[in-house]
Amino acid sequence: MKDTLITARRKRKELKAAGICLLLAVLLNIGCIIYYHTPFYEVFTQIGYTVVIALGFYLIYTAVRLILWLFRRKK
Amino acid sequence: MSNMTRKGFLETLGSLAVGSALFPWLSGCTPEKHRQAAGEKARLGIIGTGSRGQFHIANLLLDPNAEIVALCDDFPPHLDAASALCPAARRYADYRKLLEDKEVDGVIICTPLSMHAQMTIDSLAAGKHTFCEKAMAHSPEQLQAMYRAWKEGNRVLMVGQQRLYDPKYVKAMELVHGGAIGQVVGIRNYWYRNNDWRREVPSPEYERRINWRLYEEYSRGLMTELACHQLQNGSWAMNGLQPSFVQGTGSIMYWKDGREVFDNVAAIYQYPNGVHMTFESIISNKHFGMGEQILGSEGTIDLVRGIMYSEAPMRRSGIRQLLDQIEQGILAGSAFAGTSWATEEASTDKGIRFADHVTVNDGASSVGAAGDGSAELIHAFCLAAISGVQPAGIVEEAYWSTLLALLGDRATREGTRLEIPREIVW
Repeated sequence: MKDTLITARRKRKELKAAGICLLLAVLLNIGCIIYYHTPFYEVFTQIGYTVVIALGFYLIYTAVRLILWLFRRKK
Repeated sequence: MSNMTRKGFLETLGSLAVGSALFPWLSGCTPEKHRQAAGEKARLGIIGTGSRGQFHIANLLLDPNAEIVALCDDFPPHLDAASALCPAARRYADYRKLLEDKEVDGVIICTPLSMHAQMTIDSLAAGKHTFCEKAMAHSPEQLQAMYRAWKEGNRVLMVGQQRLYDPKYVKAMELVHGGAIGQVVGIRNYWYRNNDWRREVPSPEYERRINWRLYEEYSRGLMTELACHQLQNGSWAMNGLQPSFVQGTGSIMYWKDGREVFDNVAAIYQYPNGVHMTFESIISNKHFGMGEQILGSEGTIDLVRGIMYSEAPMRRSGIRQLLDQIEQGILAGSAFAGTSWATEEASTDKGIRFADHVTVNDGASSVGAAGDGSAELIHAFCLAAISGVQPAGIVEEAYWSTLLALLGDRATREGTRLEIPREIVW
């Protein structure tokens, strides 16, 4: 098994992606608050759901990149 | 329920009732009334020692304010069974002999319905405080005669409407009258069982005496034995307003075993303000059990389960609503031809439980259930027999529930719409 190296550039990229996912989830929550006419404090009280959804977005993003990577590798 | 719990509960209810026009009959159970009755015992005679009579005896044996001094039944096995529970009590085969017993202060009548009126009238005439099982009477004429006998005398009369002393019903009515469910817009009662309502008979000649509930000569069937309890909820919820009309239907469609009373009935009562109260009973399917619901413009009270539901329950968060919608399928609610045919589903609101220790049973017993208010009711009778003070409003409650049951029975048998008198006639 060989050592792996995660570069600072990669870390920054992943953190940026995770941040964007979290932002999207927060925006989705705000969208739901507006659409369903629920109280604005749900931005904070529903933070658990927001984090889980952000994690879901990040997993989808990772899965897409994995597929693309496999596709490119085959070529 | 233990003695202390029962006494404590009644005292709490009694305190609640002071100054409240909603529960006038409970004002005889305040802590002060209990103090006045401390150490005193009502000397009681039980007429009718069958299953319900023995149920009361079991409660009375635990009651510090009760002493059973006499028993009466003309069916020896029942009298023997009751004597085994209270061996010191004198035995009578004729109720008139028991009424002549000078040591009896109060009488508890647990006989078949058709005997209630005469026995109650005789008991009151003999100067005894009287507790009569529900329903009060077998006919409106008997009912009037009973009411007259009580009104013209000076003795206590109480009737076995145990819901009047059941904590969850008292609490529920407090909520209804406090406006918790808005305007009362409907009252729904049903009682489903799946048994033939028969008791074991030692030999055929006892058939009609043991299974008296099945024969018109003794009983008015489901309306007087079951509906009578539930119809009282309507009067209570409607703050004493009584229905103007009743119509109904019924038949013997399953238990075709020689019985004369219906095995399924449905009756609708209409109040002057347009509200309807329904009662339905089928004794060949018990899936839905027993239900008593007060429907309001802002909520619903399930009396049997002690739960209040809101018409606008607290909504889920926006994000939860989105996730629920995704889970159910966003397109599931869409219909090519509009939604007019779509099922209108019941509310999924879990409601708020307003009463603890709710007991339910499967309806197999027609005797009574622990915690249904029977013990409190009979204890209240003991207190009333000691003090000689009539609990206010209780006879009127029983009068109306019996009258509604009897007229409902007539409407189901005749298939007609009957007018209900606006006032007590006597």
